[in-house]
Amino acid sequence: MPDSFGIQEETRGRAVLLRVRGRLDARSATHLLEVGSRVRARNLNLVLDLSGITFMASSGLGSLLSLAEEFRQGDTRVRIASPSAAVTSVIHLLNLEPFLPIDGSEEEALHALDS
Amino acid sequence: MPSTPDPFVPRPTETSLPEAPEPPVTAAPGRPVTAPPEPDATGHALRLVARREHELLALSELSQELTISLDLYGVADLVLFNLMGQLGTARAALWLISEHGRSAPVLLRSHGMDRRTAAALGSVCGGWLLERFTREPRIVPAGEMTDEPARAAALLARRESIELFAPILTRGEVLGFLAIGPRLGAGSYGPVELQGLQTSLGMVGVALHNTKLYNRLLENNRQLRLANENLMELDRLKSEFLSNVNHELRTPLTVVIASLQIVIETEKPAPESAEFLNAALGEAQNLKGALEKLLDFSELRRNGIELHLESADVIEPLRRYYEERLPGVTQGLRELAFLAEPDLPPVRFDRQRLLQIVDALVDNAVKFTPEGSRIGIEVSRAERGGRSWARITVKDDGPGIAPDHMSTLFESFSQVDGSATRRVGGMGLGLAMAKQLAERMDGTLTAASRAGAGSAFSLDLPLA
Repeated sequence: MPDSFGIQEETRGRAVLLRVRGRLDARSATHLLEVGSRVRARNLNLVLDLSGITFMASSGLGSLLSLAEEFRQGDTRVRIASPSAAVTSVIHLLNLEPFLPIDGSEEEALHALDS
Repeated sequence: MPSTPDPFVPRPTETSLPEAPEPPVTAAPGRPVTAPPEPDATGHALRLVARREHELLALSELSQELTISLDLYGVADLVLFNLMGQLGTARAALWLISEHGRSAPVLLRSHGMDRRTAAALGSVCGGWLLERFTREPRIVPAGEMTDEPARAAALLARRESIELFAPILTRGEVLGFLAIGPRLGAGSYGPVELQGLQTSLGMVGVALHNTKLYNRLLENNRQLRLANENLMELDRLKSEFLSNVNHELRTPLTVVIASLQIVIETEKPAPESAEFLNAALGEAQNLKGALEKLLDFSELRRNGIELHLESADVIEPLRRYYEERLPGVTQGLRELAFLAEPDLPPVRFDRQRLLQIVDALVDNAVKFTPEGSRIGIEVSRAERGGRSWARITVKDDGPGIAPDHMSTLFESFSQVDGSATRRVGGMGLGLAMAKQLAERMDGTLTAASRAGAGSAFSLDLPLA
């Protein structure tokens, strides 16, 4: 099922990489926030690889914004790697690039967090 | 912190949308966004259209999403995430008014805001906002809160980057309210965004009202079932009582029968007397027969607590219990969570007794925590005393238990009702009975608490 939601987690130094796939909607937003919050509790940065997102509802965007804000308050950061068109279209539309910084690949995002 | 301006710090209010150059907007599968990458006036207009389309889609999504959860906290999550994505803000929180006459509204959820800070914001702003919303049910920009009673609230709202407070209404009654942060990249809140927010809030009000009603119905059903179980328990106690009485009656009756038989057989009474004595003997023997039948019946039902131990998955019955209990607990504006460690081996337990223990612990947590508290049921594996256990913990973030009460925690209820039987009300099992049941299943029940830091009751059951 290409649309089924899933998160794959990998720790890379001072960051955790979450590869998220499927529909990021109201049902999966809470799940993403829970996983992200566990990363935040470890005081690590977060890279969200959203290349596998097939659909992003408003709730999905809300969960991304909530995560980014909560990481910011904890002096850690969130970056988005190689998002699909479903993600970039909404981020661009609402001019949210400064708050949800986008990188072309996971490595670029990890590098940006190191710099 | 970087020297560049912090993108999350709210900017001065914008009166128009950002100018070109605009990034390209690409249609997404299933959620089309139609603005083409035009930097001119046409592109600007198309971009506006695309944003309206985004807001309409968000409204449509909200109407569907509100059917997903029947838990007040789940609904609060859905609402906040949708509105944050709809409006492009990173901060939002939702409060409901208690049905129990408390003045301070209860914070259900906050996102992008520390929970304690959000709770403080609700405490400071709640009274003023509720009075205002009752008088004038419309969205209030924090900048409008300039009159004296609201000044402290406005200061705190500004410090927490809250731009709007919005009432949640149903049938003209204020159910609660939302706090919403600044729009991050898409300009200020204009009439169109406020109209969209107002429309969303209408749906949210109906959904929260229906959720509360539904939860109340489910909780009433649960209470009825418990009342029925209590009646059955009373019936059992009645049998116990009958059994005791029966013993008391049968002993003297045996003496009466024996005496009558001796008189009839050895004294050779006159025929008139013999007739009365034989009648008395016959009735006494009938009475004894009836008593013995009653005694057999009572003893069958008098075996005390009979355990039906099985080796099975403990998570499934606990999850079902959680789902049944959730509406009533959240209806009382307390959050109830369930967390189970995967791949837990089978546990040796009595299903009914396990649920009675957990119910007693959840009852206890509800009773001794204020509204807005969090209660959790957690299932995990524990190693203790060289053995492996399934640990079922019921924890809360309430005021905790005073140290001088800890030592008598499991004895106090048996002292109160004078027996190790049931407590009055609810499922009726006190902590003392819960501990006894745990031990009957070869388990343990322990408590840990710190004043001001909540309590945790842990039931350890042996793995099969």
